[in-house]
Amino acid sequence: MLKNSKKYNKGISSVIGTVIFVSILLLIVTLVGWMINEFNTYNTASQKRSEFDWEKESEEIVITKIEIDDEINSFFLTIRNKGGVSAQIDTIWLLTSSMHYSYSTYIMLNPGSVVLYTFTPTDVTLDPTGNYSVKVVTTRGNIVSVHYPMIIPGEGVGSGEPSINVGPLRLEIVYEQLKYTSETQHSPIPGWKVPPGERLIFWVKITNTGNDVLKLLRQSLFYAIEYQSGMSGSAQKAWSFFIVDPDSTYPPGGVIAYNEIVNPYYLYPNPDGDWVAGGPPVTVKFSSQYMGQTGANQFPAQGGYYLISIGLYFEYQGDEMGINIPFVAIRTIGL
Amino acid sequence: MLSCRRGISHIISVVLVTVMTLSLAVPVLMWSTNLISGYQSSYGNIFSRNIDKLQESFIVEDVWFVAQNNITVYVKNVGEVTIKVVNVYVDNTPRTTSPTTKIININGHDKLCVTDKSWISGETYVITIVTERGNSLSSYWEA
Repeated sequence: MLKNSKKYNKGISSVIGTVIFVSILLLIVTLVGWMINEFNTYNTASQKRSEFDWEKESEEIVITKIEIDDEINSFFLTIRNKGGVSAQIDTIWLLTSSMHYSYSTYIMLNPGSVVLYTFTPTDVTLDPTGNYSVKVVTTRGNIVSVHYPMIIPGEGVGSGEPSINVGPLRLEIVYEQLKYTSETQHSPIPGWKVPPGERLIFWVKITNTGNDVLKLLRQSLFYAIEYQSGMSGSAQKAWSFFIVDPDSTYPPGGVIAYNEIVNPYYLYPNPDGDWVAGGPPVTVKFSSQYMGQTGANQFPAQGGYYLISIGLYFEYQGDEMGINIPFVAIRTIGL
Repeated sequence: MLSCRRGISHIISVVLVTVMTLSLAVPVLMWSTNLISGYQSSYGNIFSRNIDKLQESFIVEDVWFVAQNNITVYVKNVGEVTIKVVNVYVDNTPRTTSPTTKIININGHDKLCVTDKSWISGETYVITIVTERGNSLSSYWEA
């Protein structure tokens, strides 16, 4: 009996040891298996996201033509897929000066294909002489917009790029990009004809095309030289409109002296390093007769014609630099 | 009688060792099981959250400067999961929106109105959208 018990007891420790070992092994195997599964799921999601990003990057939709047929109240959009992947447009936006509308649609574009799409907005009566913006949105989230009437570089009046690129800066020579406010004009409107004898603030769009942030300094100015037929004697007078604070609104009370330490203009580069696109355009305001002061300058009451240069002093990559850009020609209202 | 006693002490010692081993091993086993299950649960959540964050993708389709204290931001969900927009920043400052949050389904689009920001026509503003999962998207829009 004792012998049997001894024999029987001998096996118990092995069984217990095995059970414990197997339990621990099972735990570890389960844990490792679970971890592999989780990593696999994450990798699959990550791969899918990379594919999505790549496809989004590869998508390139261009609207090459936009026309209006007012009889059927429709736009004719010529849309081309220049990218290497198929694209699907699922939303079209129509922007007027007073409203923004979106419409669901289905336009499938294979790589290289061109589609003539008739877009009939149900909420707007189209006017062929009006101004509209149309945006198409793809399912991958790319947006392409076009303005009606369409401005095609190299066609119509003038040609080439409607901008001046100097150093790390770009100034747009576009009707809407030069604006002014005055004592009687409190919201900015195009500044190609400005009122004589009224204090002014000029609003100029400037873009950073460099690869680093740029700070404008208080020496920057909008410089106007009067010109006349004959260009002689005292006619060639000059008016300085120095840079003012970004929060300036309209003269005289809304002109704030420029303080490059407290509230400077920072022009940021394109976050993706795309210098052609440039960074976000910044509206820079010029008004003060004296550097770093509030007194808004004005053109004489009798009016005149003016050649405009822009002098920009700035800090870029730790260095202070200045450039002088022949900009535009403007005149006063009534001449 | 003597040989019988000898056997008892042996049995007692075996039983004692077995009980001691079990009393040590079982709690350790239970503790490690709990630990691993807790670890699995928390890491599972982290994995799941990261996967959801990765699957989230959205764009700002349009920003309409309607009137003073009314900037309407249209957001489109182009990702694989439903998103919840929880914050809108204008020029890096958090703003009050109506509604305060917005859930947007897959392939859907919806709007939020910023109700406490005045703006100047012609100025450029940076609009940032933040979702509940912590993804954000910034873009520049001209008023």
